[in-house]
Amino acid sequence: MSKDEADEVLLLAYRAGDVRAFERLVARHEKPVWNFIRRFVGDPTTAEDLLQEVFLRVVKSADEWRGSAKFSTWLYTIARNLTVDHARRAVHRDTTSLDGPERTGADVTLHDRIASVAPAADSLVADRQTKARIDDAIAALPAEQREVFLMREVMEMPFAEIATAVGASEPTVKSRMRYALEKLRAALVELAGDLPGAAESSGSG
Amino acid sequence: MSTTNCEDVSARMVELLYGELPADARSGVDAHVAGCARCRSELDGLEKTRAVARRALDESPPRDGAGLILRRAAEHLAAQQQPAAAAAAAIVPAGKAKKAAQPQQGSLWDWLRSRWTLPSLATVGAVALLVIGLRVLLEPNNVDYKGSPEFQREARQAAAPTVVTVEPAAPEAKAAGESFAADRAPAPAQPAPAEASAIDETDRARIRAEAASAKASASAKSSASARHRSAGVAKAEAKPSAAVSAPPRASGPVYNDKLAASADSGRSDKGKFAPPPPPKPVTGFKMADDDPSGAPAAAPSGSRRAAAPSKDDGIDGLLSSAEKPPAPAKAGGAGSRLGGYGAGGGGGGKVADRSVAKERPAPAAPAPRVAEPAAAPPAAAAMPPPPAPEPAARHEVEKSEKKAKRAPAAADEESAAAPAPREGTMAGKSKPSAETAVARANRLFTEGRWAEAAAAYRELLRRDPNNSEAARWRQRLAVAEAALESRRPTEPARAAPTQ
Repeated sequence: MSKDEADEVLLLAYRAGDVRAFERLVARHEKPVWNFIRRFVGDPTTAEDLLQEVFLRVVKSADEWRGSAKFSTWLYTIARNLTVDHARRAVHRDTTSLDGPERTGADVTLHDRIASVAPAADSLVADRQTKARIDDAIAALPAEQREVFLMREVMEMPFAEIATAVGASEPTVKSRMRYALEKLRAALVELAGDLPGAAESSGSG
Repeated sequence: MSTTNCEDVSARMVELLYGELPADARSGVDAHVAGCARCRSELDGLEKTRAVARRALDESPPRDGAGLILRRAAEHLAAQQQPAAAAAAAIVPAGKAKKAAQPQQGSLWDWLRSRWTLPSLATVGAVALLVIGLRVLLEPNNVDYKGSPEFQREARQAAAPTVVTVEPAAPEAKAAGESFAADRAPAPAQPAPAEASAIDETDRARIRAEAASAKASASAKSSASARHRSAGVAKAEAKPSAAVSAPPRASGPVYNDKLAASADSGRSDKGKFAPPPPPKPVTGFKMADDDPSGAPAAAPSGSRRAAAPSKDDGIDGLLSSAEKPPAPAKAGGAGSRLGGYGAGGGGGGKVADRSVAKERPAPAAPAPRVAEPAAAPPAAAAMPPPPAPEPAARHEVEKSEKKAKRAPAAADEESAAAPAPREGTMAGKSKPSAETAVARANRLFTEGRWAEAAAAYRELLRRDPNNSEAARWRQRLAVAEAALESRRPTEPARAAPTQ
């Protein structure tokens, strides 16, 4: 099996008894799934559980995949549903969830938090702080915008597939994407300014 | 398109950013952006934002997560493969067995078998359930039976009469082989005498009705009647020549008849159907175990599959029978519930076999005739992994040992369910009725409901610590507990995590 075997071929191989094919699928997709989950589930251990749950769900329903959808779309939809469900439950479990304040007063909350971080002494810390800031900005997005943003950026799903996955129309999805980008721009404007090579990275796509 | 303005571009900004602009809009948007500083700036800003955001979206997942995932993937596969391999073994050998059998003897039996292998496997499964179950139900009868002349004669012939069918003592192997041969012998001589078949038909009809009613009524009742009938009929049947009366009957009665007459009818065919290797007594539902080495036979593959559900049911049976003794005697249910007992003891086989054979037609409706010859193997199959492949399955055994080895995993909920389509009539019947304790535990485990899964396995282990599946349960329990452990610290804080 060549390295770039299509997901679908790998899944079929797994179904036929090749566990290594599944290993390849996991290796190929766990990162996007992980990064998606992480933006909904703050606790790393919980996120890890969820990551496993996603793939175990795939294992369990591998036989149900009929090839009507791209494997990646199918997988990411599973990931999205499990994650969103989990996040929803988590919110219900604890009304003091960070989701609340962040959604309603995102800017303030973020600002306070970011401001509280002491100025970076070295670049490593600065990097970490930059990342934390981005994380916060993404986390501050309303869930429905966040999921669209992540499915597009991390999972690289076309808008049409995202629309199917989240059960919204394509224009709605694009609109959410647009809002998400605008919010992120507002939150990350300073970072974007000093991002080397950011300007060159145009060329849509 | 010169008509494209800033608003148009803004409306298509997302598409532009992600390369999803429709072809017909592309040139217009590009042209506008090229000549509009404001739109260019907007585009730039969003591009940069994307680039920045992506820097935080490149986290690598924790390495240790993949291990469990892959282990589970492998487990799942193994569970799936069991039925798959069994099916393959059943199919391939069926063809091969046909070829192999032809030179030997172009008998009706061969024809039937090659033609009905699959259906008969299903039948076999059902019969297996019944055999095990009724064995227990009819245990009391066993006592009577032992006193009967037939039994005594039989006892003289066989060293260990009580376990004749399934777990013949080693020294008895030869006798058993003959008996099996006798079982099969009748088949070629299929066209049974009118007299015998008449008895059969009526008897079967009654049994069928009985079994049907048994579904609704308590199992004890049905088994009691079955017992009576079988006791009476078996004797009556024993009268006609063994070769004749045997075919219509399932293994149990046949066996008895055969034992009574095995000397003549059995021996004649013995050469054609080599006696099975020395049977080795085994306990419990070992056959459904993952131990591939322990199941070198094909009987495992074919019958394993059939037996897989029975194992689950058996456990459940143990549980449910403990909790609510007079459970509805569903054809399969009764068998499987008793299967639990069978796992423990396996005694009183003879009598049970007899009555089982009588009742078989009910659940085994499809291909009754064909099922007969195959009935013996299933019975044995449902029991332990008999290194002694039964006659019917023997061919498959020889041909598909490799395949059988490929079917290691224990019967999971998946594996139990998988074969359903083909065996739906029987195995399927008992299955859906209620999720068995094992299936439930497995499901909970697969769904990652660790706490519930752990509790379920704990309960299984508590109730049936010696089950052949126990090791697997323990392993899964450990995994579930480990998962719980790793989750525990975060569980209370679960809410907070969502950023």
